[in-house]
Formats: sequence, C-alpha cells, structure tokens
Amino acid sequence: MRDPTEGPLVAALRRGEPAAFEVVYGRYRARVYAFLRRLCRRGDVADDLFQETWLRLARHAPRLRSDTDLRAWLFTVARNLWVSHRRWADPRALGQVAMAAVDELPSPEGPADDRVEAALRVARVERALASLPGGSREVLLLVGVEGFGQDEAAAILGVSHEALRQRLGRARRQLASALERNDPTEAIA
Amino acid sequence: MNGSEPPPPELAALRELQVEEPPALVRERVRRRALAALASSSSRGPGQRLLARFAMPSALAATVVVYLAWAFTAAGALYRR
Repeated sequence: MRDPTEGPLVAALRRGEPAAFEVVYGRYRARVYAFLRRLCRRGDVADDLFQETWLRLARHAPRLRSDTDLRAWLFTVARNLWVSHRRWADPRALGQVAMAAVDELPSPEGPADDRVEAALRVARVERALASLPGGSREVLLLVGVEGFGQDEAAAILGVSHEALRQRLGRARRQLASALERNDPTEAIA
Repeated sequence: MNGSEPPPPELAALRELQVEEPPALVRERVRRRALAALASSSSRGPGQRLLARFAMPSALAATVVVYLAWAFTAAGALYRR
C-alpha cells in the first residue's frame, strides 16, 4: 500500500528537488540494497544494480506519475535490472559464484548459546534463502521480507495474481524444506 | 493467508532478516551520481524532452524511409536499363 506522505514527495521529485531525492534515498536505500544483495548473492553485482536503480529514478523523476508508489516503483526497477543482468550474464559463472556465496554464509552449526541463538537463526534463514532458485527467492523477498501484498508483488513481478499465488506456495515449500535440511537441532539429534 | 491469520513459520522467519545498509562508499557515490542525474534531467525543459522523445526519433525514421525509397528507385532504374 502506498505511503500517504508520498504524494508531496513525488511532486517534489518531479520538480527535481534534491531534498526530495534525499528523503526517498534515506527511506528506501537500505531496503533496496538488502533486496538486491539477497537476490544477486554477489556484492559487486548488487552494488552496480543498486546504483542503476537510483540513477533510473533520478533520470525518470520528471516523468513520474503523480500517483506513483515509490517503494513499488523502486523494487520493480531493481528486480527488472536483476532479471536483465541474469539474462546476459554467463549462467555457469553465476552458478559457481552463487554456490561460493552460499558457502560463505555463516554456518548454522555452532554453540547453541543464548547470545548467538538469534544470530544463528537468522544465518540459517539467510542460508536457506540463498540456496533457493532465483524465481523463488524474489517472491519470498517481496512478500516475506518486504511485506508487499500479493497484488503488489504480482504487479512488481509482472505476473497474474494466480501465478503469484502458485509461485509463493512453491517457494514456501522449498524454503521450509531448505530450513529443515539446515536445522542444527536435527543434526545434533 | 489473510491479515488476521499469523504468517506461516517460514514467512515469519523471513521477517527476522536484517536490513542491510550499502557500504558507505557505495552509498555516497550513488547519492552523488543520482543527484547529478536528477539535476540534469530536471534542467531539461518540456521542449527538450519532447525533442528527445518524439522529434529526434521521427527525424531518424524519416531519414531511413527517404534513404530506402531512393535505394529502391535507384535499384529499379538500374534493373530496367
């Protein structure tokens, strides 16, 4: 759902006001970056796509529609840039780097001490998410992490509501299964 | 899944993931470049935007059409000789 404070922000962006850009950048940069980082699984690619996403906003600002939902707009652009990148990049190289990225994530094994329990849980989820195919990751990131509604997520991904529902169901099953595989309590038992 | 139901456990687990700020260097570089792009895009008046969006592509298309018409005419004239 669109933030009600965004109307004046969009109007100011259309006039090219730097202060409006600073507000939007401050509000969404971390979320967009985290989304791209988890989607790409590569820091260098995420950095490039992050930059291109914000440059697109800056270049497109005078032509933004007054009812633009900036958050959805930014995630749509970021996701489309990732899709284009994936189409042109060598899939074998991407696969190798992606597997290396999964290996670099913190392992869920370790002392089940209270101080680190939450961190381990998060690392376990990150690891499970990173092991999923791109199509499943993107839908889980939009709905599960970013909290987009199913209609908004369907619009961002350019698919029908029904297709989104099916993709989300499949992605949830894959995530649950990946989490089970990474469950340290099962490994101990 | 609706608003009143708690999210399934695997989706609830995703909500715990941290938001990650870009590295400071990237953050500042992107900010600077985007502000420059914003200044440049908003300094173009509506006339310039119309020119870039419609007039230039139309001129290019017209040039291609004129060239193709000339090429076909010339080829036809050579063939008839």
